[in-house]
Amino acid sequence: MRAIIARWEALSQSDNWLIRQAAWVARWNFLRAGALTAEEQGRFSSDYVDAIRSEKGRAVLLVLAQMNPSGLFPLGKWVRHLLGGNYGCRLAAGVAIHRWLVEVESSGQRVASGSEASGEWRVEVHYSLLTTHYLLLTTRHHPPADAAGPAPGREGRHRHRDGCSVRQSPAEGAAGLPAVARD
Amino acid sequence: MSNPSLFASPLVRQAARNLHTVEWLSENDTWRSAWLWRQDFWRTRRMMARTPDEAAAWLPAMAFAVSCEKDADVLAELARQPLPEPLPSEALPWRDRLIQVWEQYPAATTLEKTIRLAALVRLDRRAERLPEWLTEARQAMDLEPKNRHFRLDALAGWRPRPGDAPPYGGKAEAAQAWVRFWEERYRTPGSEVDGLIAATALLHLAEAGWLPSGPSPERLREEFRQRVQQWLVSYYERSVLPMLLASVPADASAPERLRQDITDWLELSRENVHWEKREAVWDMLAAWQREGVLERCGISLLPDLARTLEWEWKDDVLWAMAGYIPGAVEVSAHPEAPGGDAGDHCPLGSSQSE
Repeated sequence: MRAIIARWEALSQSDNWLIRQAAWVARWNFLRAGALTAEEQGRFSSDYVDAIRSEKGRAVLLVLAQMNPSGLFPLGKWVRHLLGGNYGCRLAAGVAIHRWLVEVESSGQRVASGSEASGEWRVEVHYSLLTTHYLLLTTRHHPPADAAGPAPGREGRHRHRDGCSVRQSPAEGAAGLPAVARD
Repeated sequence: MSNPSLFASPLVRQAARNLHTVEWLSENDTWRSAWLWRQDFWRTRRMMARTPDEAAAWLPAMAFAVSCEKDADVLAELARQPLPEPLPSEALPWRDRLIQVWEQYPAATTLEKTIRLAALVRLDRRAERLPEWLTEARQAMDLEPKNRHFRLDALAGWRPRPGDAPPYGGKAEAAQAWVRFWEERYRTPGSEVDGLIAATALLHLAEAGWLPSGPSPERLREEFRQRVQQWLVSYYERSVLPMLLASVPADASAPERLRQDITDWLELSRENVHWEKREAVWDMLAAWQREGVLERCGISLLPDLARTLEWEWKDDVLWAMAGYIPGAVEVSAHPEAPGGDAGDHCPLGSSQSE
C-alpha cells in the first residue's frame, strides 16, 4: 500500500500532464478510502495547495478543482488563476470556487461579507435556484423537460440567472463566475 | 423562504448541488466551446471515488448534460458513467429522466445513434425493450464493419435485470429471437471481433439463466478472455475493446473461479501486451473493485497494482489504474493508516453523500 501511494505521489509530479492528472485522481481515491497515514495526508494537503499554486496544466487544474480535501479552501490561490490564468485555468478556478460556494450556501453557512470583514471576498448566492432543484428532484417523478434539461430540440442552454445575485467583478467576464466579487 | 434542507434529504441536496454546478458550467464559454474540457470533467467524475449514493446524486446533472451535449466523444463518456445497483428509491425517477433524455437525443450520425443505444441498453434493462434492440441488431448487419461492430458491441451489453427470468407467453418470442440472433453469430462469426461480441452477449444471457441448453457462463468467460488475448486489435476496432470489457461483470458466484479469472486477465496487463489491452483490462478490474465484488470475494489487487506501477508508462493505462480504490478490508490490513480522514468527505463505505 505504501509503495503504491509513494508511486502515485511521484507520478503527480510527472512531466506528462496526463500522468499528473491520473496520479491526482489516484491520490484522491486513496485519501477518500481512508488509506493514507497522517504523514501521507499531510503531504497530500501540501502538494494539493502547491499544485493549485504552480500547476500549468489546465486539465490537471480541472481535476484538482473537483476535489475538496479537508482544511481551509484555498480561495486566494484559485482566485489568482481566475484573474490571471488562461481560459482553461479560469474554467478550473471557476469550477472549484463555484462548488465551494454551493457547498457553503447549501449548508447554511455564511461567508464573511464586506460589512463583516472588510477586504474579504463577498459572497451572495440566493437560495432560490437550489431550492427549486430540491423541490423538483424531490416531488416530480417525471419533471418537465426544462426541469433537468432543455427541451428535446436541445435549445435553451442559457438558463436565466435569477437564482444568483451577481456582484460584477473582473472575474465575471472571464469565467462566468456568478457570485464572487471583490469589495 | 424556509431553509430547504429542512425537507430535502442529503441525497436530494447533493443532487441539486451537482445539477446546479453543471448548469452553471453550461453557461461558461470555455466549457461550451471545447469538448475536451467536458470529456475531462466527466472522465474524472467516473474515476473518482464515490459511494453509491454519490454516484446516484449525479444522475440529474448527467441528464442535463446529455440534453445539452452535441459532441460524440463527450456523449460516449456520459454513456459510460456508473449506475449504482440497486439505486436508492429517490433516484429512480432521476434514472427514468436520464433514459428519457437519451431517448430524445436526436442522434444524427451512425456513431451518435450507437452511443445513444449503448447508454439506453445499460440504463433500461427491461425485457420489454428487446424487440427494439433486436430490430437495431438486425439493421446493424447492413452497416459497414466498423460501424456494425460498434453498434453490435453496444447492443451486446444488454443484461436482464437481476432476477428477471426469461419471459414467457407472448413476450417470449422476442427474447427467444434475441438469444437466437446471438447464438447464430456466435456459431458463425463473420470475423474475430464478431465472435467476441457474440460471446459477450451470450455471457450476459447465460449468467441470467436465459441459456439453459447453451454454453455455460464459465465456458463463455473463458472463451471471451481467450479471444481477447488472441485478438489483434485493428485501429478501427480500438473503440470496441473498452466497451466490450466494460460490459462484463465480475463473476461473484464463485470466489475461487473469479480469482483464477482475474489471474488470467492480469496476464493481459503485462508489459509485452499492447497498451490498449492493458488499459481495457485495468479499466475492467478497477470497475470490479469499485463495485465491491473483489472485496466480497476476498481478492485484493494491491500487489498487482504495485508491481505494475513500477514499470507502467502509458498515460491511458495509468488513468485506468487510477480508478482502483482500495476497499475497507485492504485499508484495515494496513493499520498504519488512521482509518480515513478523507477530508470534508467521509471515508467510502459510509452512507453519507458527497
